[in-house]
Amino acid sequence: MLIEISGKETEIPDGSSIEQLIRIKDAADNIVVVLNDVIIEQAQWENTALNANDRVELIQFVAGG
Amino acid sequence: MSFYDEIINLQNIDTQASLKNTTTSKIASIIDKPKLRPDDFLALLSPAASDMIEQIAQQAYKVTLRHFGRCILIYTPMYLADYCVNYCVYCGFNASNDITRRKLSLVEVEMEAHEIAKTGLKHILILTGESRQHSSVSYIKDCVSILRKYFSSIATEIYPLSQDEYAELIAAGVDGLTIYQEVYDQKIYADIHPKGPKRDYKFRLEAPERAGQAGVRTINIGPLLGLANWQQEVFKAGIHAAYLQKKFPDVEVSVSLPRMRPQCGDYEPECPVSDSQLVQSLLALRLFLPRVGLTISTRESAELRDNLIPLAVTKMSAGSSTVVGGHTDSKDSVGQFDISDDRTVDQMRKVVAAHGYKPILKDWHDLT
Amino acid sequence: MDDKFKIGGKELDSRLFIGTGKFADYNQIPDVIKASKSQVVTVALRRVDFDIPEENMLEYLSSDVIMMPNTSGARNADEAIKIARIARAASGSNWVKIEVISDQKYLLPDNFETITAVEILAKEGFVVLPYMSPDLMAAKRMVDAGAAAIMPLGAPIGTNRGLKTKELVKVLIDEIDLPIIVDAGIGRPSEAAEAMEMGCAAVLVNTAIATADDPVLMAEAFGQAVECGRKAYLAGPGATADLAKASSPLTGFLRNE
Repeated sequence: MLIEISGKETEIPDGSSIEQLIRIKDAADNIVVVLNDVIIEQAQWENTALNANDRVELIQFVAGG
Repeated sequence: MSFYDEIINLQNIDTQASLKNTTTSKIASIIDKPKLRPDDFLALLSPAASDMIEQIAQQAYKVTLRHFGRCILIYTPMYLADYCVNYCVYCGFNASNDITRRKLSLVEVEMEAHEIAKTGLKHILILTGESRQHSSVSYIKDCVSILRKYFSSIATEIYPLSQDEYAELIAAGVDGLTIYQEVYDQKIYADIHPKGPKRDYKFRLEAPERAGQAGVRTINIGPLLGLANWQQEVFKAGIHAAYLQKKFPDVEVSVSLPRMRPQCGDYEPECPVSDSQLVQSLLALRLFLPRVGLTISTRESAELRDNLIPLAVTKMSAGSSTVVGGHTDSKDSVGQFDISDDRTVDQMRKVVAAHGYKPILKDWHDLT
Repeated sequence: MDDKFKIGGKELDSRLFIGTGKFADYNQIPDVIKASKSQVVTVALRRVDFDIPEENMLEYLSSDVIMMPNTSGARNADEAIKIARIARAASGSNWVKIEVISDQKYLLPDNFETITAVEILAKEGFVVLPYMSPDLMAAKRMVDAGAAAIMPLGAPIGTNRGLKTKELVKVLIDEIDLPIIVDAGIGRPSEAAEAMEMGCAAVLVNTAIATADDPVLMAEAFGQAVECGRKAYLAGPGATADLAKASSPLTGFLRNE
């Protein structure tokens, strides 16, 4: 299925959870996941399933003043 | 939080020890500071500071000039009524004094206003004793509606009101509040206000804040010097003014330092204040609060007032009478206290001008 | 000397906050923090970009420093609020530096949008530190809105030009009962010391350290400068004397007494 990750359309396996998405993208654990404008706590990653056309933002801390 | 909490905190400061330990070299460094702290202000009231009064005066002169220019605002008081339910031991209007009491009718108010307006004055201070029966808020409002036709700024010096009552007066055209705590020392306050509503120290102390909340434009506070140790009283008044300036940045805050004058009754000041102590107090206030207004009334002699024109003062009364109806007819009434400088407004204008200062008759006109 | 800096429910020993932007190498950051003795460090939030991977700042920050995410990138209150909420979820820290910049030329903060953001985030339990243009009335509104400190700029961000806003910052120190923390513009340790001598509660430094030839040594210098300035403030500096003295006497009349 197609979802939008950080503004880019991306194909992932049907029925993937957020946890699986993180593994697929080889992203670090210490990031924030925002699914359709809602922050998903890390504890919920495993049992939050993704649907086609979901908008996912993966956000991390970077340098800043 | 109100200033009452601050007063409680101030009681913990050993002001006498600080005053005693202040040295002249400390004063020398304070004089040139761009901004004074409360402890610097206290130091300026010390005996060491009195030894350096000329240096302090030179600085106060410069600071006043920088913030106010060469200007002295002139106003006059107008007594509306002398009925009073309080027993302030130092006051000529004390309820136990057997004097003929009087309250101006609205026609008389207009006559007084007409007479005062002839002098060119535009700033007036109206006064009453504390009697909600004779000098109710609605009576004062009626007077204000007449006075508005003659004066551009009307301040009141009456009993303390609630915030709503202050709002009513402001809506009626009052823009200034004068209220003296008389004495900041709570114990002495209780001793010299034995009976009557004025016994409520806190209600009086917080009155300027209620007026500030109600949106008054100017607030003038002060201690009545002579009732308690002058250094402690001036110190607390200065801290009070600083508190009001900070809490109400849009309000023009002033301090007056009225000294006890002879009045009807036989009260003698417990702690008389000398000319040089009065001057030292005014100078200390100026350095501590560069923007604060400082008022000197006709309680003081013509000679002293003339010498104060370049020294920190920004407002002076003139052509004053402390008698109800005193601007039109004063034959059989007794005043609140005896005035000392009885020069007319016209004479005072000339004196101020002769000192190189501009006498200001009007610095406010509400356009709303 | 007991001179803890109390803010947001914490007691800090250090009055130097450090920004993590513009470092040539993230590996310098732990040493910079250590050399400066700073206990509060700012970070920013960005989308993870899989094409241009960026290192995650969390890897470089030890757990004993307070993370203060900023809302950089926000152009209005709504965006700042959104970023702050994400930052809290990600960091577990409820501190946030509100930074709303709607001007891309000078990068000056938008005080109006900032006030709105402070009000909403303070109600949500954040420790809110707004970055602002030093303006007394705006600062008062931020106080009323629930800010934990006020962070006026010393000069436009990243300019290293020093305390250009000195007179305005002094007004804030005098009139605002919250810690005043100069953020942005401080280019040298002497300027940080000057801000502290004036009575600032802390300073936030980033560019001046990150772009020094030796950032770790410069971080140490800033740490010491902030301490020095603070001590001087507590000691109460003497006044500079006017050279010209007295003209004609003003108090001669008192001698008659």
